[in-house]
Amino acid sequence: MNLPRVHTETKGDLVRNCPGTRNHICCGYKTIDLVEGCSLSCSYCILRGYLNAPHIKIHDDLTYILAQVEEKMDIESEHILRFGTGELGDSLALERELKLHRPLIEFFGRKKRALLELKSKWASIRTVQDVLNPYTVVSFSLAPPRIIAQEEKRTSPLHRRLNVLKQVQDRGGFIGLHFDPIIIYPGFEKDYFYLIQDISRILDLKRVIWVSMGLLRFMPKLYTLFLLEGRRNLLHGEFIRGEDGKYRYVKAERIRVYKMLYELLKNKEESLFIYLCMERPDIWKEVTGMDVATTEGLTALFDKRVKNFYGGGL
Amino acid sequence: MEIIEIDRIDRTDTRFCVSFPLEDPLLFKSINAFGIRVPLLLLDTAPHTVVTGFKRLDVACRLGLTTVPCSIRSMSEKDALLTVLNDNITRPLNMVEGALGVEKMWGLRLPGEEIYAMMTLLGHEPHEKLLKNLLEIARADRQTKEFLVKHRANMTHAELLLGFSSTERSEIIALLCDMHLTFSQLREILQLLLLVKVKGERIPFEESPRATSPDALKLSLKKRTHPILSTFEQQLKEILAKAALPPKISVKVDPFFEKEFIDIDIRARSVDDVEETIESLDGLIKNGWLRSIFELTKGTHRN
Repeated sequence: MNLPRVHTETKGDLVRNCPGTRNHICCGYKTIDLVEGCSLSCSYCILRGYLNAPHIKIHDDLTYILAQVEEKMDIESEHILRFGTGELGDSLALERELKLHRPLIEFFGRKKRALLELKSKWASIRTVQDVLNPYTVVSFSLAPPRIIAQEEKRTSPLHRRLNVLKQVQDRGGFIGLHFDPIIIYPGFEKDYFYLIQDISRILDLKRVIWVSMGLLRFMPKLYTLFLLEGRRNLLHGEFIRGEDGKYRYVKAERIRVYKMLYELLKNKEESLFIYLCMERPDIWKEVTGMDVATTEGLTALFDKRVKNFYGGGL
Repeated sequence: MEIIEIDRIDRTDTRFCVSFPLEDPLLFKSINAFGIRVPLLLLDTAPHTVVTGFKRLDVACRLGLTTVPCSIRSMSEKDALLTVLNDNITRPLNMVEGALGVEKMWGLRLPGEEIYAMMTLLGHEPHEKLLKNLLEIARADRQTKEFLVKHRANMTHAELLLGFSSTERSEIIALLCDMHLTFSQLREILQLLLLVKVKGERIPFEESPRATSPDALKLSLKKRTHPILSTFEQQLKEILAKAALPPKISVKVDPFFEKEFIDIDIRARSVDDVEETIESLDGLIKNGWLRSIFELTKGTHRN
């Protein structure tokens, strides 16, 4: 689906706190809405829940946006802020066409006060690689090839995502890995086992700044859509309505799957910093053994992690 | 106005009919008592095509009338259809009638903007996906349309029902036709049935007794689609039965076993009541029943 691009007037708050979700722990991320909408058309994407957005909205007044980023940095100087452009769109999918990230990357490189994360499923950094600096983290969502082939049809294949992450590491940059959404389907355990094998073979896990895990969750509107589209992979597991109204796997299953992946990853590299995206305190405790009860608690863990990586450089 | 013989009207030509169902018991009684008071609008063709008045004509035929009052006019198909829609839009059209109106416009290849404008008037968003749904509803079989009208279905219900094959749909309608269903019960049951199908299982029509209640049907479907949750519910029931709590204590657990906490309500009328309650709660703790409940809510319970 080649959605039309609409350059809209840049106004309002385009740099915001990640909206999070009620009664679940958020990582305190800041989102920069450069692009709203995505051309990758993943079957489970939250953007599919919005009927009235048949185009990709582009905010390209970077002076305005960078002023908002700087303001956030000034206001919240007690934390090492993490900003990302992959909340309402893919950070890299349209970069060749829009070239919005280069000035943003350069800005973070000059400021040296916060991190910018490029979160993507599109394995190309050609347009930004010459400006990459230590203050930009390149991250990819990773999933078994079967899920990429069936549910993320227009995205880059796994081997290309891993190759690009390796290129970033080879150039001295830090990378992030996101297992999100993790989907329960017949045989997923084996597929994730091999996925983690591949990752650990290709990448230097000691230089992965963070790893997130988030099991599939979605709005009620998407549930009906998945049913009508007969999305067998997405609906294989057992879902309940969470306190935030979203569909999630039943808690016992979430714990089982997170634990399995957490152990697989930790067995590969004990020092990995693994966090759960939008999960409950009791799940954190059960999976990681850590008492993480609030967004502030998780933010503090991030601060510590980033300081370990950057030393006095941030 | 003139009076013409019904034989001069082509009753099979329903190009402009947006009424569904045609049968209208109240109109039948009214015409039987007072005759047709509002003339039909017919096209100046031979035989005549009905533009408005399908229900009146249906009643006339049922009553054995041989003539009807009518106005005969010459107009284009588009004008005729817009007249029909204009004539009907002020009454509360049911979902199928709205869909029929849109489908007739589509059939006449009227411009997209006009079709979307009509959808907006009918309370639908002017969106391609919804247009597709309306066309599907209009083209569905009579049994499906009747079911949608009878249950005052909304677009989600219709989409879900049309997600089944016609054979499955027929079985589902037979299963649900005599049930009194709320909006949410209908949606949940259709979702559960479709989930069974998506999961690659056969829909258990024969296991779902036709006279069962909506809740019983939901429960039996949930056992298939939500085995873990069903097991937890059963285990909670067993724990509470074994704990044999006095009526003044109630233990409330999140229905999805998602919240970390449980609520324990106590109703006491005296200090003695409170003492008795504390004793009961102490028993709950000592016997391990509370721990078992928390294992369910924390997702750590093992069979």
